[in-house]
Amino acid sequence: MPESANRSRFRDLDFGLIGFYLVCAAVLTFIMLPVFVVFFYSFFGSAVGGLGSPTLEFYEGAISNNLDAIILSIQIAVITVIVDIIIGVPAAYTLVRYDFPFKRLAMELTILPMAIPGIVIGVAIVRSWGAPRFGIDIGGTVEIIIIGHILFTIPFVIQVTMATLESVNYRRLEESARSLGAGWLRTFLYVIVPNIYNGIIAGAIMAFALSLGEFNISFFVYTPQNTTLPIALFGGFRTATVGEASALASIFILLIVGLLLIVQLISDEGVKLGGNV
Amino acid sequence: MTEVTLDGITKRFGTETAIEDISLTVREGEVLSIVGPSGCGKSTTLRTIAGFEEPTEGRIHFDDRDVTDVRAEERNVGLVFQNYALFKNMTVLENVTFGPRMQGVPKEERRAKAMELLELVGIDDLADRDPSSLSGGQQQRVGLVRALAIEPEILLLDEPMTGLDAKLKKRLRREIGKLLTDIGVTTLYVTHDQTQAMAMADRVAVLNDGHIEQIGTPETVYEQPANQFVANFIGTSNLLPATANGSTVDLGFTTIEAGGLSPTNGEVTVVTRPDDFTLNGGPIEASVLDTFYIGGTVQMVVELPDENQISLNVSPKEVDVSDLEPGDRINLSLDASNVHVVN
Repeated sequence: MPESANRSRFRDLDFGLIGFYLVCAAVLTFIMLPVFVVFFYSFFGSAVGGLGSPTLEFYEGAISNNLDAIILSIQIAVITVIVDIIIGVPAAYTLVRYDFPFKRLAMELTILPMAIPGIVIGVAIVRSWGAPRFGIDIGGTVEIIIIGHILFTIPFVIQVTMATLESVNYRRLEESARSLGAGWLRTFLYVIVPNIYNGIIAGAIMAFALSLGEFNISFFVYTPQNTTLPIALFGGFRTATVGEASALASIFILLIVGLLLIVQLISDEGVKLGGNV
Repeated sequence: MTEVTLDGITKRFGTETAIEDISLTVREGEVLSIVGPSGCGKSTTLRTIAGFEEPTEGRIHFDDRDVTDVRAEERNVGLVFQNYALFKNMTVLENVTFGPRMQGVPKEERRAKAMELLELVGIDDLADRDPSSLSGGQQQRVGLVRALAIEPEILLLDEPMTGLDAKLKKRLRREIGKLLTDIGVTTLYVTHDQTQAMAMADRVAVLNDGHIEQIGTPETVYEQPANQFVANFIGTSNLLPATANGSTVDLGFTTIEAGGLSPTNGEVTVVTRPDDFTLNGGPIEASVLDTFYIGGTVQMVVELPDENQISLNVSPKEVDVSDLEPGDRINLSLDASNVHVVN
């Protein structure tokens, strides 16, 4: 009907709707503006503060001067994520699956590091592990940075894993597997883990990105020999050229965006594991 | 084939008693259905047999073997859930071979067995598909076949058809019924749907508030309900208060021959079914409250002289619904041969 078609086209031009689009566009601009500015300066920045001609030299400088920091940050993030998964996934399963005294309290404790400011964790880590304790002396080492990062990121892995467990109705899966003759370990490895694999990977990538960008805790425990990428970036903005610091920031953003794309891909595609005829 | 016996099973969660002193036997190759409203303890009963709940009291036997303390994974119990709980990380075939694989059956053998079972339910062509790409009815069959692949001592079905549409339910009911008869596996079928229970089961156990109200064939629980609860839960009933007096039962508006029906004298309840009344100008006067034309039957709600409301089914061939208005007076007769008296 032409009349109703006209009416619906008229509704599309509704001023309220246009208002919503405008708000949405403003928010997106607000989010993206700093990113664009950093990208812009990474190509056009100049040593004296004005604008230069487009160049890739800042990227060369950023990479060659900070290669150690980039590699160290990636190494720390990888180890952090591996430890997060090895202890976080069984912890999440235990918290969701079993009843025990103070279960609620235990669940809330796992969120605590998310809620406590990183700077507070940083101070606490230095107080706890900065000096030798129980015969363990890790002050000023990479290990202490990793401990801080695990503390900061593991709540995310635990939270995502718990949510995924609930969403796949793990209890029915587990009961089916056990009725079919699988003990708890085979049930966990062949059925539970593969069915929550997407959640684990999503949590892991989130933890990886958080570790890569972690500044507050690292700032308290790093040494000049153990400088991570965010610390280098902080130093860069104070000492290096605008262009080089912007290039380093851009590399950072690209790393994170790449990781987010992988998360997206995994949640869209799904992954199949554990099957065997 | 296995006979499964529950002997005085009680399960308490803290101070809550989920089931109390349940004793029943699922005979070899029988389909026993447990029906009851939600929260009556039917799922707890099933989970106790499967080994997921430890009974607070009582013992469970598979034939002569006491399995009360045997772990779920060692009980060899087939389990089918309402949502099928298929393993989404595995193909249909991998789902079906999972049980035999866990039990250490050689690869070729478990594959062949799985294909044979899939063929039996007509979905062998879906063997390499992902469960999530199947329809509800197909997933249901995979769930069933997966449970049967371990050649279970007993097959436990927990509301396996809830959530499927009515037509599919009817078809699956027939198919699954036939499959269970062919295979001859001892089966316990838990459902809140008394129609499914009656259609599928050799015997029905009516559960209420943690205890068994009655166990019997579908005919028995329908025609001779042990009490008001069973009469109300199984099918549609009109429960009418009456006074039993020796050989007669006085309903107030009419008197019927007790014919050995009445267990006691005094206050009793007469269970009548909607089909027991006929609209033929009989002695019982009633007024029409509502009529519902539902195809092959007209369901009527009428009010008796003592203000009790009853449902009755009449054939559209007998009654032209358009002629009946609420408030109209009609005359009924009661066929006393089918009525049943409970205390």
